[in-house]
Amino acid sequence: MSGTFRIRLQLTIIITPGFSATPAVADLWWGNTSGVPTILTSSSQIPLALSETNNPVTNGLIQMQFGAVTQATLHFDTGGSNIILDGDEGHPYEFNGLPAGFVALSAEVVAEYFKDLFDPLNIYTIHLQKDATTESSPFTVVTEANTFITFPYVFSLGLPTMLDIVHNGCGLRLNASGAGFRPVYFQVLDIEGTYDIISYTWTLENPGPVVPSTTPITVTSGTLDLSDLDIFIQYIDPGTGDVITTPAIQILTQEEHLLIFIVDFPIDVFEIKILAVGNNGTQFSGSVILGTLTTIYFTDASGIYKLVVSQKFDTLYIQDDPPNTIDVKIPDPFIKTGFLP
Amino acid sequence: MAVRDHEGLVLDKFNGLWDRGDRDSTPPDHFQECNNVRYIGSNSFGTRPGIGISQNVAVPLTNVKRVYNYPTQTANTLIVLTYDGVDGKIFHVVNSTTVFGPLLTIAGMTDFAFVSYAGRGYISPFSDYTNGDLTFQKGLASEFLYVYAGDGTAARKAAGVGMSGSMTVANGAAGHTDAGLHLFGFVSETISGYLSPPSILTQFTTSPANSVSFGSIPTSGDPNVVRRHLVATIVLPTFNGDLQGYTYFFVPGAIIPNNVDTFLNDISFYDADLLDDASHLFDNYTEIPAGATLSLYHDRLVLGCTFTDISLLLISNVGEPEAISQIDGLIVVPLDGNPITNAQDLRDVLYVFKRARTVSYVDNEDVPSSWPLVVVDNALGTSVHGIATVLDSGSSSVDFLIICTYQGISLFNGRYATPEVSWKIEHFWQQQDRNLFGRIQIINAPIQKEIYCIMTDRRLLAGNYGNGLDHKAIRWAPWSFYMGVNTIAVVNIDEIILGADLV
Repeated sequence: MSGTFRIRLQLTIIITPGFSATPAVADLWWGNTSGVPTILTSSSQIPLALSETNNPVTNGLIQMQFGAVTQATLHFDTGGSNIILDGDEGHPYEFNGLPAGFVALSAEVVAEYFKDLFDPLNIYTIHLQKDATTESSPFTVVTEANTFITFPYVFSLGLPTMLDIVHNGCGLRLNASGAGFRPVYFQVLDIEGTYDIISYTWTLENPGPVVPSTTPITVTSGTLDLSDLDIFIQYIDPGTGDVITTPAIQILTQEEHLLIFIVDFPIDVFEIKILAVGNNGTQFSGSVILGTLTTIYFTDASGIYKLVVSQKFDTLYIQDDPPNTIDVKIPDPFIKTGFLP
Repeated sequence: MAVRDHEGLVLDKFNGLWDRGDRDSTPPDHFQECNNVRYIGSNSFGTRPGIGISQNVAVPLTNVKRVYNYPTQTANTLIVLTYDGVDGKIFHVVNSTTVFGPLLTIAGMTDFAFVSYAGRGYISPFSDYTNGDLTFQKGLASEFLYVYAGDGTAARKAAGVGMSGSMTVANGAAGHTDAGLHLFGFVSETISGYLSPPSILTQFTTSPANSVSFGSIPTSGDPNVVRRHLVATIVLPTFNGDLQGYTYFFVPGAIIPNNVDTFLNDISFYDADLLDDASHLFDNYTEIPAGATLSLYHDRLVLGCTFTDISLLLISNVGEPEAISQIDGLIVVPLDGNPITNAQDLRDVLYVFKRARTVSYVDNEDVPSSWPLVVVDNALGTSVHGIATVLDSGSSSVDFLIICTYQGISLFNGRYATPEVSWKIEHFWQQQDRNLFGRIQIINAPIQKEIYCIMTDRRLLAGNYGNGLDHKAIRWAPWSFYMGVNTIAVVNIDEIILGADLV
């Protein structure tokens, strides 16, 4: 399965002086209620700037002004939770929620911007920045009207992974032909691309039906490279109902086709998911569920119990909080006849 | 033939798990597989009952290894072993809110044998040992039989030594004795009725018209001693100096009723009054080695499989569970390299089990070492917890035993009934690891008409005999839990207790 993705970059300013080939010298301005451009000094002012309505020019926009210098640098964060797949605006994904096997095939930055209306003849060049030392070749901007431009999200280090894109966001460095009051306004800044879903095979060996916490869990893979994954467990907190994702495991073996670990966490729930997250995004983005342990990892549900004939569930001690208990379903009651498989 | 011509098969009877190794042979009214189901009425089934916690205390017991019924004088209670990987600790769970203990803490005690007698509990710690590939159970090294009073006080070593020291003997007030040289001594009696060997033996020549008085009598260092009995020989025409070489008798009425007084004055007796022999007390164990099995037979305590002798039975005197003669209270079960695993009374016969052998002894009203041996079965035996206890009796049901053998779960009435009642799940049973048979514990709950058996993988095997207790009518089902269960007991007639730990 393939499709398109789009990440709308958040107009959140990451004050990162290193995000420039030269020290950041630009100012951010917005039009105040008097229509007078006002300097932005922190990210918290962005919403206010974007909601400004009194200035027809700067309304809802962030402008980069050059002041006495000819260079400005900004970095925009992706936010990490606004990945739109196949144009479905109503269903944004978080990175970890991307479909299993998600692989970015291409990416480009799409910007809608316009220049200083009072200085239409200036020429700008714009560089896409990955970090302080890595940026794209310059793109020359000569028009003064609203313009869409696109930059391939490609650097000399090779094809970016989805994780790169999400983690890095996007930096912009503008060079003007001369110093002065020459703002550039950005209205849209997206990263768009195509993706594919790659299928992998693996097997999680469920050692049930009763699994002490010291029991090694084995995952073997056919095509998935297990050596480069981060492993997490996910369960529902029985007390709060929250979904908890934690790296509380202890890796015993992590090879290309073999992963052995033990859950290093006293869990008082009876079902946990084992998640793998591609830690460099070369295989897939987001996370995949390696399997679900439908048995339990009570590190200690020991104690004295009694059969309760009228009871439809098991009440067990919670290890870390005795004598408190947890009610769990009776594990896997079933029958199988020779006629009803 | 068209599908519509097939005749439907009505499944209206569900007779439980069938696992004899060939799935295709499973009858239509049986299950090829099942889990956590119970049988209701004659033909129905449903999900097994849930379990709830048995204790309502702030710090419930954990890491439970073994639970026994402990019927005291006033209540049905539980005696519980917990093991934290280092120490085994025994607790007395009186009810859901009252726990005594630990009564006893012993390093390496992973299991214990228990029997209740006259309200007291007798505890024998044991553990797993290996011999080559064989894992078996025997009494813990350098450990002993303990007795628990049932009142929350710590368990103490059973039996005990006599007093030490010396006393003075002199003529007392006017009275009577058979004049001549007598040997005197004292026997201390503990709160559990144990009589120590005669001690502080002293010679004295009595006068015919005087009683005898004793002074400077030591008190026992054992705080459990509640009285001390005077013992004496008859007049000795000659004395060779061996104080223990003569027959001692209890002197009637000559008792110090405490462990405080240091005198006993003005005791008169004739030799003809000396009828109750106390000499056998010299031969008794003063500390009884721990064994892997404890049971009762003809009001005697039976202990088997000590650390140093896996085929040795120690059998007490009648009514004196702590009085075991090192001379004639012993029985050596035929040696075959396998340890004694169990002993059980049935119809006045003491059946003794090894893992693959069953023999019997009959009390001939003489000393145990004289009891005749009969070999019952040279192929079938059982494990340390492999004989079903019934309700809270810890013994046979009516007129038979339910015994876990390597063959299966069998009814035993002096011989093993064939086929075994677990015949329908023969393959299931034989998949069990024989080296883990020490984990198997079985109970019979006749009120529910259920047999419950802890399996080697720490699941529970439930057998419902509501339709009859035979190999065809019984309905089996394994039950699993989100933790391994180690032990099971019945308390208060029909309350099923399970104990679980992590390992």
